Amino acid sequence: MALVEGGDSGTFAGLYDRHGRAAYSLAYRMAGERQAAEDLVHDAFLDVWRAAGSYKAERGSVRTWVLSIVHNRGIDKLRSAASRRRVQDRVEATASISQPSETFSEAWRNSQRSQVRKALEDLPAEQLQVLELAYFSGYTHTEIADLLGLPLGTVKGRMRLGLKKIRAYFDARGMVVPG
Amino acid sequence: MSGGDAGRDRFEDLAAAYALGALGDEERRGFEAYLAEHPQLQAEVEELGEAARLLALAPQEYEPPPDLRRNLLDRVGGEAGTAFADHRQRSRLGALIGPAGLGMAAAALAVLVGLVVWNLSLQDSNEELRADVRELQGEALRADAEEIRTYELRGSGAASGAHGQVMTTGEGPAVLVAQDLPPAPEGQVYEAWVLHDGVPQPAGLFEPTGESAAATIEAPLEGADTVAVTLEPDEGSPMPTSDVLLTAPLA
Repeated sequence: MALVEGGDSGTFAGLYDRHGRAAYSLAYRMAGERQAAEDLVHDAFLDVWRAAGSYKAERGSVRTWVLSIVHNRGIDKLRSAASRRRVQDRVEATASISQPSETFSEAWRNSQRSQVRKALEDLPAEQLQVLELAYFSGYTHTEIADLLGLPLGTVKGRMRLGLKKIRAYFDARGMVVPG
Repeated sequence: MSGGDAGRDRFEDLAAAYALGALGDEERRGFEAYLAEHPQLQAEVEELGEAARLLALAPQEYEPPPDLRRNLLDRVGGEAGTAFADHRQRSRLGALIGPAGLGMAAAALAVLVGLVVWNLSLQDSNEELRADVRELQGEALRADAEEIRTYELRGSGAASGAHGQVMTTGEGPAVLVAQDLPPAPEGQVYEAWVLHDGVPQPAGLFEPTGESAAATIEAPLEGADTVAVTLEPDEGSPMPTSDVLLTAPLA
């Protein structure tokens, strides 16, 4: 990261090659369509280029930092007035992640990505739904309560339980939470 | 947010939503102000935050279009005011220390591998000799501290007490050194893997001497995101068949 901070565009290319796929996948999940995902990744990596000096290794891996920038930009976009056309059908669509795909079943179950997916599969559907609406769709807890017709306290409780269970999944297996 | 028990209750109430980025602006500012006054609660927020950030790894993967890379690098190259030099033509480490330095670092790493293996072979010899070897290892590392990149290996599952490092110069094979690794059960051997986007590539077999191990990583690390180690049948395996026992994220 010191090289990126120093304006080394070759190092930046390496950074993109290493994390671009994960960034694009997250952006696509949040934006729901190709062009918006491209714009999101483009802008997020420009942020990375311009703000490389703000990266702190002790706060997590470069991948986590890059994905946080993508996520924060995605949330900003989703919450902008133009994006408020999000509709109820996305709520139903978010449940699909809990179904393991054939590809996933064949993937190495111990890779970090597959372990995360496995941890999510273990969550009760109602907790996963709330986490996904917050993290990928950018809804606030109040908006989620309205959307799902649930008491706000229920939404907060599901968020808390869901995150605690993800954490417990890794702790119970003696695995390091990917940083 | 108020102080005292009510403040604490409110903190408990909002911490998960904060970690997920699901608070409105006003609530978020109030939460952060309370957190600033109660730094002892930071660890709890960080734990929830770690779990929340894992969600970024969950989406189905898609390959970004080539145009995106090209446009981005054109833009960045313009901002840097220099012609863009693709990393594939010259490694990051190469750009930093130059070809001569790379040769020296690679040579030092090769020496280090030899020293580590030698050290392991001396487990039953006298402590004085082993101390000499450790000193030589330290010198090799210090001399090339800037040229050798290291990644921490952390144990999990049956090897949760194990630890070590993966070291690389960016050229030549990387080296794995691990300590406190349990002996491989009869008929099994440790196998290293280099993961690209979660897909494992076999990277060599090894067995600990005592509770330590040193091995070269027989697969390139360029573009990889993780080095991992599992226990496999004696002759090795083309794909992992058991739990990960050591992991080193390369990012």
